[in-house]
Amino acid sequence: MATSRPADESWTPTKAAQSPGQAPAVECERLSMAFARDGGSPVAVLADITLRCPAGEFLSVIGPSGCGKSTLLNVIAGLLWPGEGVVRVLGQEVDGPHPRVGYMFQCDALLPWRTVLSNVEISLELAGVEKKERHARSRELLNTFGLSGFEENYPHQLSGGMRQRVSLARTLIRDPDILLMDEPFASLDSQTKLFLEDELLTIWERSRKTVIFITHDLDEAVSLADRVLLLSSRPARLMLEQEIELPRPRSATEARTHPSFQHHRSLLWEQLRKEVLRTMQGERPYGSRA
Amino acid sequence: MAAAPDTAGRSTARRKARAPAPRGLRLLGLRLAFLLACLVSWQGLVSTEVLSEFWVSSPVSLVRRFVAMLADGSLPLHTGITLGESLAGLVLGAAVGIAGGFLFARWELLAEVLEPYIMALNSLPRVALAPLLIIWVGIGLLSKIMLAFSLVAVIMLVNTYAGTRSIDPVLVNALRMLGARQRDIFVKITLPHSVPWIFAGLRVSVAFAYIGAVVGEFLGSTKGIGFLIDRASGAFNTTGILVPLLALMLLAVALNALMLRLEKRLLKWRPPQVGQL
Repeated sequence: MATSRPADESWTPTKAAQSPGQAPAVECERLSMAFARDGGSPVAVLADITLRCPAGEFLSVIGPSGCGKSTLLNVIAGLLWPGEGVVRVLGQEVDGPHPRVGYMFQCDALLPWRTVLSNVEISLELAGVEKKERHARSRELLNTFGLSGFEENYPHQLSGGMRQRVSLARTLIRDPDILLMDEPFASLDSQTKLFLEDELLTIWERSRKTVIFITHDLDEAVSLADRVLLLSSRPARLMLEQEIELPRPRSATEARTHPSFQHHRSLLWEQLRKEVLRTMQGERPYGSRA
Repeated sequence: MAAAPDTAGRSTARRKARAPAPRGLRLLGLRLAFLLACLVSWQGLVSTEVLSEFWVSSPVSLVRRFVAMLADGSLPLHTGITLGESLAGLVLGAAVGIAGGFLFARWELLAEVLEPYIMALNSLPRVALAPLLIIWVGIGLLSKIMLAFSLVAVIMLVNTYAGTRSIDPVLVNALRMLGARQRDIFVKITLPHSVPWIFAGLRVSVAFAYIGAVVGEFLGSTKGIGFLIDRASGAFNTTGILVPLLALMLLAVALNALMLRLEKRLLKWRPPQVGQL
């Protein structure tokens, strides 16, 4: 798997080598958001979040569970409207799902009534690509993912790790510039997880897509990313930003043994620990009216 | 309310506990042996005059009568009528119910406005509508079709709507991120997701369509299985009541088997079901 070649020429790092000074891939300006609650005051989820993610960066966002990480990602994706603030993707203000943005969910989100092949090619189908070309492209991509021979299987016949790889293939077949990932490996066992992390890094090294990777796993965040953002407990605000100075190309396993890994990890954990504690104690220290 | 399909989605997909492999022939043998045992003891009880044939008839007279009624063409005629009425009611009811369910899914406000009325209608024993229907359209086929329709349509509506409500919003979001518009969501998600729910509804509906047709015939008719039963009942003819019932049962079993085959074909994407009847 690790030796596989990208299926699509456009994956080669042409896009990543964009000239500096161009608009950042993703830009959030003073995002705030609250969810309406049945018979109660609204719950603030995001509080004044500003972030910029330059093209080609691998950005991890970490925070205690339930803090609003996924909400932030859904807002960037254009699936949710922020109450206040602006999101720009590739310089354009977001007003719905952007064709250059791919999204990978924690669950595989595959359509159970479609075979692996027709799941992978669905975006091409929606775009009106001819059947023959669709099949050819998805077969080739599945091949690079080591999923040849499973084209006609249904999702329930695959293991969790394989389903997540199919899901990744489905996202990548459209060749998005920006990849939003919402704890994509959280439901996998730790070995499969490590394996897929490495696989993701290999793909990323080659394509240098912009990645925003949400996780609650500190080791995962540090070992994958160029930069880690730490969010507070709800309502989420930016607590800490940490550049990760680990050599590239990396492997997720080797990165964990690097001396500066521990350094980054403990700096982040010091802060994260407090937020986790707050979440567990159910405090609402940031002026939420609930 | 809705007859839920066996909800074997992703969550139970990895379930290891499979039903033991169907030992097809052995099971069939046991089933036939059970039937034979029932028939033999029935016949035995009647022959030894423990039970009176007048009250319970007997397998031998049933078969004799069945063959005779087949030969004189009365059984095929009346069964055909009832079958036609039920199928017409089933098809129309399913079409209207399924369309209504999808309409509700599309316009949730419509569903919310109409919900109490549909629930009220649903709690009414629809069979009690029969006299009204007969006043409106007479004792012809139409009143039976309408009765079957009224039973089937509500079941199909409720089931289809429940199916559309159970769609995982993550699937919808995933497809939107892959370039799907509203119409695509309906074709690629809502429709295929609802198929198991529709089938669960259809299987219940087959029985209800027969009920509608036969009850309609009881209340006033000149043809059909209900008419045969009603006439035989007036003459205290137990065999005459049981033979049309037998025909009806055979038809229902056949239709159910047909439906299961179709369902299996359409739903081959689902994980194997446990203990499905």
